[in-house]
Amino acid sequence: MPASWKYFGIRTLNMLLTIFVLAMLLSAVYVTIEEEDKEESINSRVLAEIEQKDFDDPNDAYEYREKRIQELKEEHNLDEPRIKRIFYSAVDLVTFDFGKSERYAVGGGREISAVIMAYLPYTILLFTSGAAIYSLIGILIGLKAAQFSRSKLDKIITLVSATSSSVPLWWAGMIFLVIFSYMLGWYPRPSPFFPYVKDVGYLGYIKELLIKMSLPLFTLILVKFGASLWTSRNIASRILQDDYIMAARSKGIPERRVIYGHTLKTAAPPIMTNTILALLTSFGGFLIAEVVFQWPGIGYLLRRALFESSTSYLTHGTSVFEQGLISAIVFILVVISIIGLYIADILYGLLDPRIEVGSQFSKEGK
Amino acid sequence: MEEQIFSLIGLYFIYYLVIPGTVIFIILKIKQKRDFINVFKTYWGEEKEGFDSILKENKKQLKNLQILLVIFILISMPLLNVTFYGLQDISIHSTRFYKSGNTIYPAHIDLVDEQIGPTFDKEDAIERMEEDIYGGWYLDDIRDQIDLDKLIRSPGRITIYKLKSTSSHPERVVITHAYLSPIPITRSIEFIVLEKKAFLETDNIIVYPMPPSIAAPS
Repeated sequence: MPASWKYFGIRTLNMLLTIFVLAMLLSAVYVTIEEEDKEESINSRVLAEIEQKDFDDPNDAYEYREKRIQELKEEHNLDEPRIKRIFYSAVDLVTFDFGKSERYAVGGGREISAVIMAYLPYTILLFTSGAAIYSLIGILIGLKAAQFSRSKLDKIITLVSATSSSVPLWWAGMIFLVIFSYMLGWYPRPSPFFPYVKDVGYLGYIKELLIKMSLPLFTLILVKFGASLWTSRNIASRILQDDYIMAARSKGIPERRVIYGHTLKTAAPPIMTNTILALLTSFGGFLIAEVVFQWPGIGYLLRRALFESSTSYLTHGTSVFEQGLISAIVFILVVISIIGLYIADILYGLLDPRIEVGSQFSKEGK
Repeated sequence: MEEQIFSLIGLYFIYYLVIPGTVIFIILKIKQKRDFINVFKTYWGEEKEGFDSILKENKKQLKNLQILLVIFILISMPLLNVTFYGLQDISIHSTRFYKSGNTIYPAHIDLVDEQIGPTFDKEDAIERMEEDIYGGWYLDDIRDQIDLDKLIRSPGRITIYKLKSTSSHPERVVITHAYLSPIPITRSIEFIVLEKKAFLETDNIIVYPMPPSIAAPS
């Protein structure tokens, strides 16, 4: 079997195993919280029934209580061993069968996967496209800075990137909202609601979307491009000092080809890993930033699933947050990250032949 | 209530980290010293000139560590028991409870309505239960369902709590009996009261390192 197939096989097996272990862990947490929540509600229900029936004989009341609790536990599958419930829940997670959302506040009893799919496109639109843009800008400016290393331009770029990457996105968002929305009035007040297509037409909807997207996208790029720039600059400036770059330059190869051909090719694996990670983390949105801009993405949904149960408590008498939805969001985000890292791993092997050579050496025990 | 939460965190820190951590640390030190002495003996022998003082010094340090371990275990046993009682008592007095408008972080409320003890004089505690006929300790019902005399005879400390009713639980009577033993062992018996009669709900034995909060009904 070729070494590359073995490398591919081991990585695939590793990824599948990691996903299953993760599903088991998430299910363990979910089942424990769910059990506590359900037992509490079963006890409340049975107690209310006993009070309503007004038994004369306490033994009858006790027998009724025991019988009803047992019945309700069977109805909610709480009589099954916990490990069995954890396993079934994990199987549901890995088969993407998340069930229905429980709270009216979030999703209104719809399929959880449908609720997530309603929010995910907004996150991809804003944060994934933002991640692609700031990664590209970062790489290009980083290479330029590396080319003119230790010049004034490099110093300015380094200062800007360090400042930019140290500012929290939500904080910059708040400041920009105050300036552009509340003081200058150039940007509409944040709201998660969009007009209906039937009311404004497709063009009107796209216009509204672009207007609402403009400030968060601008903030995201401004705050996040620094880290990408810094990484690219450091990697490229180290490579530019290598002998083969000097040789290429002395042979008269145009500088453009030296930078974007020789240097970028060598720097590709770490830069690519960073870019893939940036794209992957963007799927989760940025929880606080989405809340600040009231952008209806995954982070905003997660926040609603966590905190809007207090209103559902008052209306439905349930006390615990939307656990199923939270588990599903966390699972999907982590699975995306694991698959992304797996792809990065495979691409790394393809882009950097030394990795495969290394595996052959270790196989031969050299 | 916040003070109780801090005490709870502090006591758990002692219970699960400080005491076992110190014991493990001393045991590892003893093992390290013993290994050093064994290696030293293998390479240099017992009687090698010029090195016997080093060997003697290390043997002395090993002995000191062993004495320290014994002393620490002797001190930690009552300390562990006291910490356990403290944790158990605070857990019963601050029950986790979800309030409307604050459902993410459960509030800690005191469900204890009345309390007898903690006391080592168990007969007195039972007498107080008998005397307080209006308090309703359901002593006869309790006697019918558990061997209370046997519990009184065994050495240890007893506390009897009467818990208020909540939306999910009726009134409850909880008896905790902490046995006099080197490591903490507590029996927690919970009775629920339905139509003015007490029924046995749970009967747990909690042994270190199980969390003492098990003694506190939710």
